[in-house]
Amino acid sequence: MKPIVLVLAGLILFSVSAFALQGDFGVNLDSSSFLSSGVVDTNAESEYKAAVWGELFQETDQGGSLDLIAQGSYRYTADRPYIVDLDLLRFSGLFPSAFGAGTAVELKAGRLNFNDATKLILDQTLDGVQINLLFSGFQIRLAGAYSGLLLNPSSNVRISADDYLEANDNSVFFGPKRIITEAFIGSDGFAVQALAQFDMRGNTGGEIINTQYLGIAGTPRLSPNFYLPYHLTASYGQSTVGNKTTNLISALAGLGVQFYAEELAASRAHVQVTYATGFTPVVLLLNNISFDDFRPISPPTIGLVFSPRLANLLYLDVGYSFRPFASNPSSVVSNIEPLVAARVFFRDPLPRLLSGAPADILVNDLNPNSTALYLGTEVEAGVVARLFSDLGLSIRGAVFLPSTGSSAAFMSNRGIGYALKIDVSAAL
Amino acid sequence: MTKRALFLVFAMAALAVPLLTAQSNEVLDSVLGEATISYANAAYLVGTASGRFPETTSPADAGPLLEQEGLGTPGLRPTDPVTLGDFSYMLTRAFGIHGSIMYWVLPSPRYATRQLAYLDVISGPAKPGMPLSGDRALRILERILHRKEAAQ
Repeated sequence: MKPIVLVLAGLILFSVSAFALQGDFGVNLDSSSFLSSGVVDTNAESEYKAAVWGELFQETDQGGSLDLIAQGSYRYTADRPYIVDLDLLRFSGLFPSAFGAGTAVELKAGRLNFNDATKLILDQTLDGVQINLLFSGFQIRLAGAYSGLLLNPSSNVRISADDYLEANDNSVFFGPKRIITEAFIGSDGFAVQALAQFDMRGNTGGEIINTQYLGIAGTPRLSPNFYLPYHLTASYGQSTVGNKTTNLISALAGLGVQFYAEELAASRAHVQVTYATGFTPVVLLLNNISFDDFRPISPPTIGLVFSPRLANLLYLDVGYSFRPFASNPSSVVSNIEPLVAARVFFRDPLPRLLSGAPADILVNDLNPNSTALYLGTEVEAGVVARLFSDLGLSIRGAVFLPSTGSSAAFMSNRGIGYALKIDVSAAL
Repeated sequence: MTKRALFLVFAMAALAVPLLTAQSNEVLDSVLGEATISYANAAYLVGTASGRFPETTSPADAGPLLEQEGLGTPGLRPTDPVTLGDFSYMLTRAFGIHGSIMYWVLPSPRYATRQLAYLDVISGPAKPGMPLSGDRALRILERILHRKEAAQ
């Protein structure tokens, strides 16, 4: 061990002196507290995280750069009082004019964040390589990564039933083992992307699921203040249990309008409809397959109180935020941003239209006798404030009003759900 | 950006700020020609732009004059190169830019650089120990002057 440390120290010293690397380091402190009640019992949980990061950076010719950054953290929660993790270990190289003037190649390798254009299918730290070919007006991205070296509490790669079972299992050290690949070509206005994930656990007797995704996404600018975010993804997958393989076909779509006006107290507003297919027991003529639940690679958090899986779901999301003191010369005051939002949830209407019965949704207290599509509405309000450049604060509260009653989606004893989330982050 | 275009940008900023209207072309040419800005020229830019001394001051005297007001970097000679952190620290003190708890606790080039990067005054990589070219120093100064103008 000692010789390795000496070699590494020597390499770092050599690098710093020979290549004039710039170094920087810092400490980030984060606290997140979450209080919820209503569905079962009142629940309170907090997470405290202290992270140390270091960075080596070198500028190269024509605005290029080489960058190595690492961040390790200690995280405390009541369930897991000690989680020491490597959050980030990323090498980035920017090589301008690789394909002529106005082009560049960006190479990233190590442990870094990977996401798709919608961030609804994949948004997760993984170990892998990403290459971005940057051209004037569009880019091509190719990426490959492995999820099996992430600590289980840090992994949000959850696709199969086994993945979800392992999520809260303290005896499982690492997250699900999957190879994830991504290809993207396009611009902000229109892009085509393809993703795939392959379960690497082998034949364990459980369900092995591989999925592939092909879609379009973009946020074109309609006018100086309006944008039109849209996405449409078709997914094909294979679920294998023992010798039996079932084909899975599903889809995800979204359409909305975003508004931003710096001159109106930095107002931001959005209206967006998102749709993810649920299981529809209608056998298609081709290959004997049915529409199934959409399966993102890393399931997104949709609501504060009510956050069902992104499957068998149709929801409307509206929101507004502004900075009432945006023109105040004090950055402490000018960065205070109140926000309000509402989300209205429905089950996927397609199964009921085609078969007369809605598909199950994996949440508590669903009324088994109900065919209602409307699930409930969540209303959220909060304040986000970047008080100083090194201190941020966010307070968000939400209420979920479930649809209850004899014929409603939820059982009558399901109460109104409440949640309060307070986040504080400091950079030293 | 070419030297002439940078000069035009700086001249436009200077038009908006009377204190800079008479910057000598000689000093600007010298600044734009520096791959790493010297302490004398950096102190001259900061001192004249913030109104600490007139533009007729010699760059060689600028460093000591700033140091008298506690705004310079003692120990640097006029020809010594200035890092991004040194320049940022001179700017935050000369223009009274605050807004960071760590800068208040430990005022230093490190936290001055972070503060200016947070305010988008510094664009691109912002490491305190980075060498600073003359044209990048002018662009940073231009954004500071725009901020100051917008706040008035």
